[in-house]
Amino acid sequence: MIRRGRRLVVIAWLVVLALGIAAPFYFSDYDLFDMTRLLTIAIAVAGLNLLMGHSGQVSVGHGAIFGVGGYTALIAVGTLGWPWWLGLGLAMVVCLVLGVGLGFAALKMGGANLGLLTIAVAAIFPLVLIRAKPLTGGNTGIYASSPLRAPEWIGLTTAQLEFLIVLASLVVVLLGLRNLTTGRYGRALAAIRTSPLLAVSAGIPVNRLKLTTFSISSVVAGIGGAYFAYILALAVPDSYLVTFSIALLSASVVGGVRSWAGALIGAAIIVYLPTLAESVVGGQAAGNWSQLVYALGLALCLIFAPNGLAGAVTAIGRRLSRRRAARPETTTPTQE
Amino acid sequence: MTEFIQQILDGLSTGLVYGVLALALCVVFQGTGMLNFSQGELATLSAYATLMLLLAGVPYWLAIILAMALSAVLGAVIERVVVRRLERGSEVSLLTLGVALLLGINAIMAIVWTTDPRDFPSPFGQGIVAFAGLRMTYQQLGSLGLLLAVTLLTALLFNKTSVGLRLRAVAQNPASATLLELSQGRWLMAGWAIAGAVGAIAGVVAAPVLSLSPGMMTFPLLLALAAATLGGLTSRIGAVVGGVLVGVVTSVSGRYIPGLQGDLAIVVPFAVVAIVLVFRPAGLFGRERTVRA
Amino acid sequence: MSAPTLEVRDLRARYGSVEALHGVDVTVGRGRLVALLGGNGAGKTTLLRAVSGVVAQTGSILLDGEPIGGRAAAAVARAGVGHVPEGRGTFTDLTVAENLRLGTLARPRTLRGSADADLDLVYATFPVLREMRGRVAGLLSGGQQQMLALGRALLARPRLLLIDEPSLGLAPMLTRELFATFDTVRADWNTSILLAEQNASLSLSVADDVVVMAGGRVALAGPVEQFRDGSAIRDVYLGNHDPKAEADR
Repeated sequence: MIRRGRRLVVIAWLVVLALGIAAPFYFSDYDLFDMTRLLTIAIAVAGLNLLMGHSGQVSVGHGAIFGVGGYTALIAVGTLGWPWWLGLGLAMVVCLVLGVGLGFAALKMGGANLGLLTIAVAAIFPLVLIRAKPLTGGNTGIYASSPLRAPEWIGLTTAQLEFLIVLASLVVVLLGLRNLTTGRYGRALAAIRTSPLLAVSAGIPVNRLKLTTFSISSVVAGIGGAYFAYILALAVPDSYLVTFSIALLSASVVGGVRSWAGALIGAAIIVYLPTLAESVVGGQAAGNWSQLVYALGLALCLIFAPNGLAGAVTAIGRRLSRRRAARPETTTPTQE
Repeated sequence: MTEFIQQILDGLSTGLVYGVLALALCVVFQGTGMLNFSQGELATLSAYATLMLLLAGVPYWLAIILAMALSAVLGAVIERVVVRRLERGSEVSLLTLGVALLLGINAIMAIVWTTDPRDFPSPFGQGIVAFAGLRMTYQQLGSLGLLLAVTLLTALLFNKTSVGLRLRAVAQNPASATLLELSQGRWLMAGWAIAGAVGAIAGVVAAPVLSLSPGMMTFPLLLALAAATLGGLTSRIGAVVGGVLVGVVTSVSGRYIPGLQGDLAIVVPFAVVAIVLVFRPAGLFGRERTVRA
Repeated sequence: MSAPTLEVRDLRARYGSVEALHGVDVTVGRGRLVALLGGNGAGKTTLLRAVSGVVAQTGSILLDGEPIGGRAAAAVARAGVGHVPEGRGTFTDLTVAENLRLGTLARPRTLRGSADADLDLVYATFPVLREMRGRVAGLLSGGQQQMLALGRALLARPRLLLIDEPSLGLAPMLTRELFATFDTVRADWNTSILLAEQNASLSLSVADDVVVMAGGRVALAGPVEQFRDGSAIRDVYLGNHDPKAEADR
């Protein structure tokens, strides 16, 4: 029965992938823009899931790291004239360095204070961006015209090409993260998040693994940020305020902090709930009312799906399949 | 030299705000085990409530007391209706719920009272005290007095009373506490109520200085978090001292360190916190959690 | 003869969808110490938790003739049931004195006045606690924490005291010392005790009655004299006794 469950999951993912590949040919470029944006954010949320769901650390600053990735990529393409994939690589390197630095600082400050450190970084990041005008263009930011522009021979619009490239990257990232967490590394992480004391006594290098995980999640966030900046063709400080980091955190929790599908669900909420809220409320005072609807939606998700929406969906699925299976024998559980 | 001391005293105004807010954060943490991101918005809401009462002609100190009572009730209601449902939630889920509350309360305040900043009268009048070439406003002195009073009261409550003992027990080990007749729900509500009342004081201390608007506490909350961490989340005195330190450091560095004008001055308190944490991860006054493996 | 302190009939308890107790009958007479024996997974801890109201149960639970089944745990505690849980359950960040004070706060209103006298009694029964009064509970050794947990539960003057696996993690010598206090406890504190233990021989030395469990059911029960030779108990532990077959007979 377990094997059947696994097969269903794989089939579900393949269906989603197929739909994804078909999407650019069905939706308008305008709609595709939002969907590509969703995918870039999903990449970042997946990185955050690795950090929070698997290693048990909290980051309220991944928005800033995302922003570092975006700015680096656009500086490479816009100011230095590099091709997009080289800019992406540079963004990954810079975010790796940043991640190692932050992770190391956090360890020195007592692991429990990572949250505060990251929120400080998230708060200070836009301020630094504005100050560093020569590099970052200050308040007006950096503009680089469509780095992922589609060449003539490919027969796709730029929007379609962007979507497919980001989709492919998301698949690669998710597969990579999944393989990472289902091997020995993943089990070590599970030990760390359940009981750091036990993990240490089992010979697991807790601090090193925590640092590694933070660094990897930084790189992943940087990838998402680079693509985000590419499709917007713009990087401005206002996109990367503390609120964005908080939104990423919420997306991770609401989707399911240990679920890869949850990363997509969480990203969808970030991208679509505000617009949904605005359409529900409509009109003049939209801003505050839509924030209220967003907050309500968030709270309801947390209350009714404490393990994340992805978890809720699988729970329902499991309950449905159990009803169809034979009645299990009552067994005595082992105590303690 | 006098100017330097004056700069310190000026930093005291905001430092006191951070101190009281950090105290409220500490109280919620000690009483419920949760770090409440919406504490700042609740304090702002209390300030609005106080203003409404004042405009309705209620005498100042009565208005504050009423606002404290209302905030306490609101805190208890929020715990019962919203937070209770997430009782067995993970630390991150509770944090996110705090964020949801923050956004929700912020939105409600903006809808009801608009985002225009308002003048908030000081409970202590407009006078200035001059001594030894230095100046302090009545507001600063009065807020300092309020802060000391609240700190003392909460310290007495948590350390010397049976109510405080029960609160701490329930927050630390809910399972054992139930076996001792302490129904978790009731005491969590009490913890939130007390934090709400302390938050009301924070609102009254902050509003005359920062001018009242829905976003009044969003930045101070961040600094109060830093302050509470600096002082040690398990220590109320630490939270207050941390808050004052953060305020003073920000003010002084904004004035004397070139290039850190305005909002960038907040880098300094965070840097200070980071450095302190390297040497004392539990904060200046915090107690390392004892674990006998 | 006065009504028994605890009378449990056909108690069933479940963890989620799995039933762990399959209809258990237990009686604790007034002022008696009942040793609840059985191996790992027999259901001893579950039984204590069910009586305390910490796990969901069905069946009848009478405390001095008064039904307490289905009540919330805090309410059961208020009715006079003290529970020293497995693993002690001390408040590790509070001092010894504060831990004990929490016990006095759980006393029935009529006994509030005599709290200080009882506190002295606890310090007399467990002198080491007086020494460690100001120390944070988390720094105490396992044995000392066990005494603290016991003292704290006693201060609430319970009618029924449930003790779960007190010997767990304790050195044998300490365990013997601890068990030696049980007699004093029963007499000085006027309470009945239901003691869940894997260590059969030590329990037999202090018990008045014995109940042996296996597989979520009661396998054997009776006054301690019946179990002097220990072979019957050994059979149950080693799985030679089939409680299911007995129940079906």
